[in-house]
Amino acid sequence: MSDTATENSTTLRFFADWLDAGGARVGQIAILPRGTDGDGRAKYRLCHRDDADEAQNATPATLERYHRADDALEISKSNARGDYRPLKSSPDLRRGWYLALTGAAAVREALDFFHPAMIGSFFRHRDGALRTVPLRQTLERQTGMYRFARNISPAGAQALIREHCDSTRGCLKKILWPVSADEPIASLPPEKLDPAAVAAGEMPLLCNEACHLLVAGARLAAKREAAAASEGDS
Amino acid sequence: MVSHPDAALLILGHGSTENPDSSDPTWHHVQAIRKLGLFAEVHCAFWKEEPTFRQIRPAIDSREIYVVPNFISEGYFTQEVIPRELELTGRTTVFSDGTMAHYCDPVGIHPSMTDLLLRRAREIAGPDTPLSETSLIVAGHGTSLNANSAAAIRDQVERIREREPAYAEVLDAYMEEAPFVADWDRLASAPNVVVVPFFISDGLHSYQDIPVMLGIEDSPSAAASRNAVFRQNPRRLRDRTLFYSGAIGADPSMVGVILDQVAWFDAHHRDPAAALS
Repeated sequence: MSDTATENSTTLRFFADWLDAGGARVGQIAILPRGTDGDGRAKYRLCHRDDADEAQNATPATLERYHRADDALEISKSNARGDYRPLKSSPDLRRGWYLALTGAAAVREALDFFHPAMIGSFFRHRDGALRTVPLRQTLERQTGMYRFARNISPAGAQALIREHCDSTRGCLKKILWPVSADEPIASLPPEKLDPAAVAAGEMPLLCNEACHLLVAGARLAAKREAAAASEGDS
Repeated sequence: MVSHPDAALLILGHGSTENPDSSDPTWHHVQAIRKLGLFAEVHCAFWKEEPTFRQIRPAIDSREIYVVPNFISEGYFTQEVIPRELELTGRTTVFSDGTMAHYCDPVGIHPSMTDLLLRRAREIAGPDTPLSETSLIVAGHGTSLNANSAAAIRDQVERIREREPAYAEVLDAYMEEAPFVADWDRLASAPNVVVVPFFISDGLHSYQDIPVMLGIEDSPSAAASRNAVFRQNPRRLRDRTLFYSGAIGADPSMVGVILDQVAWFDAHHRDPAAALS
């Protein structure tokens, strides 16, 4: 990305300011400042947070080196077992690599591959401009094969959220939406719903609306509930 | 070439929660168009992957957005799901925050797809295969769920016949409706047969299902064999010489078709009175 793009992009200016203020982590990614190049441009290394100590070494012997922002697309595609990661905020980013980049624009581009749309979402959230949509509204909107998802029970919705969105095995995002206007999420700990509950220098990943995986899960759960009810009737 | 240095380009794909390769072509097109520097920013979003149709808006800075569906035909997704998820109300939508989205046609119905299909077929068949002894089959999914899917292919077949009359014949065939891909040797009369899948990406259909229907593979094969499927041209099968291509949507020249859809929008649908102040 050129300097002109930097000047024209409000999201990039915001991100550059966040980096300058000590921004050091997004999801499972650690961002390590590495001084400047000959032209005075800031250099960074990105790596899995659990590899941060090794990535600080001048030549990290045990980590594979990458140097293009779009290498992030391939790194984030599958986990250590080789399983595909359709949800980029699932807590199973693989280890064993570092990505050497120069300039805030390249770091932002790489993070947009690792965690699509998350920098923009955090920027809008900070400005109070990120719209959130209750789960019921998302489900009511569905058509075709996903129309049935709206039939999930209140208890079923809470169980589904606990199962799919839990940070330790489901998704690292902070949930900003309720089940409905008068029904908050009760099946996850309070810090999961609090974007401010992050470490110093960490940008929270924000979920402003239920994703496709949750909608698909709601459909299956609603069908199981309907099947159980009809068995109970017979 | 189209150029909108103050606008964003947003390319929309289906994506998959199962197939890791489904969104590759869309990402590659994004990266290629970014390098051209024709737009202030270039993004993509997906129905089943991140960034999703609903996530992408906060990531876009520009006040004017061209939306191009990387879909093969008009149908359920382009007419119902995308407008609903992006809250589009027509060709041009002005949102409450003053930003504006221009909704372009899906890539698969642009006339320049015809040139791409012809070039791809020629590349696969090679310069020494006489077109007068070659049947070209454009293969699609075909389904009762979306009649437009087959209609888009029939349109392309008509255009190819007009553009390149040298082929012995140009045919359409489908996985799930007649005329069936599996009957390719009965449908095609020429000794050489070129099959080009009219799909957006090399997913399970183009490198597993169709090869089985053609008789290239005995059973749906592991993903590891996908390269072999496309590289072993030609094959002798059922007393014919068969050339099989990868999905047309994975061709790098699709970048040109995406940009052509933006130019088409400007030429046919852009309302000068709706320009941003």
